[in-house]
Amino acid sequence: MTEKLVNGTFKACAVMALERVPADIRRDGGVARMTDPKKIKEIIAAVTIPVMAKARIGHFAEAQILESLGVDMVDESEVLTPADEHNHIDKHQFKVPFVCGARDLGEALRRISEGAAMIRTKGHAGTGDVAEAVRHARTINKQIKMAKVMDHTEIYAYAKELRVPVELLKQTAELGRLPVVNFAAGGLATPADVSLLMQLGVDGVFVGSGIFKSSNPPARAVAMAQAVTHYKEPHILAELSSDLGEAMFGIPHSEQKDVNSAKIAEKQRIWDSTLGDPSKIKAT
Amino acid sequence: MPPSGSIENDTMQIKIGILEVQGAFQEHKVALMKAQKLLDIETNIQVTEVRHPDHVTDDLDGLIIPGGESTTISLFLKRNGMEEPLRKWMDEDRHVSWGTCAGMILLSKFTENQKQGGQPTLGKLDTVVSRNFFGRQVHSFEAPVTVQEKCLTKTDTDTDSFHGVFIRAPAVVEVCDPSVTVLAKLHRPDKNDDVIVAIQQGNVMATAFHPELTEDVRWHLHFLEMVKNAKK
Repeated sequence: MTEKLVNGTFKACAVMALERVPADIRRDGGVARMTDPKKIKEIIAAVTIPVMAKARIGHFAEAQILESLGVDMVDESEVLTPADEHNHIDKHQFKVPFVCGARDLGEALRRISEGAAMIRTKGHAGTGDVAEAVRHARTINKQIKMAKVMDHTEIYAYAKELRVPVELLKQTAELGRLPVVNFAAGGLATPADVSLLMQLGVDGVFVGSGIFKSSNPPARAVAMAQAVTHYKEPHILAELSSDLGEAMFGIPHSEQKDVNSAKIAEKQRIWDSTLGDPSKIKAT
Repeated sequence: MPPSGSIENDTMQIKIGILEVQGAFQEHKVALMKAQKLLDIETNIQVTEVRHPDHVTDDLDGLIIPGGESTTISLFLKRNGMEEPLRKWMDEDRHVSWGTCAGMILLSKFTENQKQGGQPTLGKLDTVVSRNFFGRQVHSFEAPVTVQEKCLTKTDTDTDSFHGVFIRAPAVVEVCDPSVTVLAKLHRPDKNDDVIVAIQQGNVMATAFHPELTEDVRWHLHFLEMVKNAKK
């Protein structure tokens, strides 16, 4: 899949070097880790645009390795299995810039204070459902708007509530946007999805599974890259959206929750019927 | 005859297009507005976005090509049928262009360090540029560049040193025509050489660094002066 991405000429502004797209990581399960350096080197050699690669959350050793390979940006990514459940990487210790995911303003500003040079919405990678990316983009927008109308006293309390440095929150309120570049990611699958998020104010988009799990990845990649520039022009988007074949099949967000909660209920049932509390089995 | 007392007569109307494919368009716009105040004449500057062949109109006086990745931007130009309209537009002497970073690569006739077949360019400058001359992202840096050209319009803060922001930046490795003026060089103490990082040939200017990311607007002012002079 990655080979296709790097050899194609899609007008992307950068590529992410990955062994498997998030949809496959999601399907395969298990622990997902940094990509084989050999593959990353091959991709760096094959393209002229910047190459990004993912490190696990908190896994600074993976990030050090990626930096030594010469990648242009490290994505400290929740798509991989977190290596540290309490701490993120101290990104100030690196020369290579980092991008991190965020679901709300608090998360975004915490990552920036740790040294992230770029933020992306977490969305719901590998699902083809854009709902979570929209939720995260809107949440960040809404919280910035709230911060903008607060006075000094209120912003201090709001910084505590968001668990972020007050200076960073003040700066964000003054700018009326995140102080770093902000992209949308996680579930985008069509040129219209791109336009939707761009109109919600993001500076660009990440697309992976949405392209590679569609029926015609090269055509869709071109169309989605074009959609970033033409996001305000419905008539151009109409052309770009035409005849692209099947979009990624996708799993609606509402159903993902059902699958997940069913799994948890099943685990609980097994636990209760073995080592847990047998009296609870009847209740479920 | 226009009504007497109209201030419109003294105010120069300037229309600048910014190629909004990739790069810091907003920062360029802000810097242009700051530089406008330093011009010695009254101007009314309209900044428009250029994202489509229809946006390349004859009444544009100037065009800024931000960087950006040159591969990305050149593919965009090709795919949207914008190369020809832009080349035609640039052929007019009264049209002024400025490329920063990737914009320098697009405006140069010759490129080194190109992968697979090379990229189409707008090819206006008789120069050879080298892509990613200083290396990849981790080799990006900020350093003072030495402004060579005395005719860069003076601003309050002027010295001959300018704070250059170089991000995966290109550099001019060869000048192929005497009509190309070197505007700035970067001294590299470790290699003890001087690299050409800003040039002008006629109504085309190119900088390898990103003046829009600094507070010093002298490059934007120089660009507006070029536009102003071309309109006279």
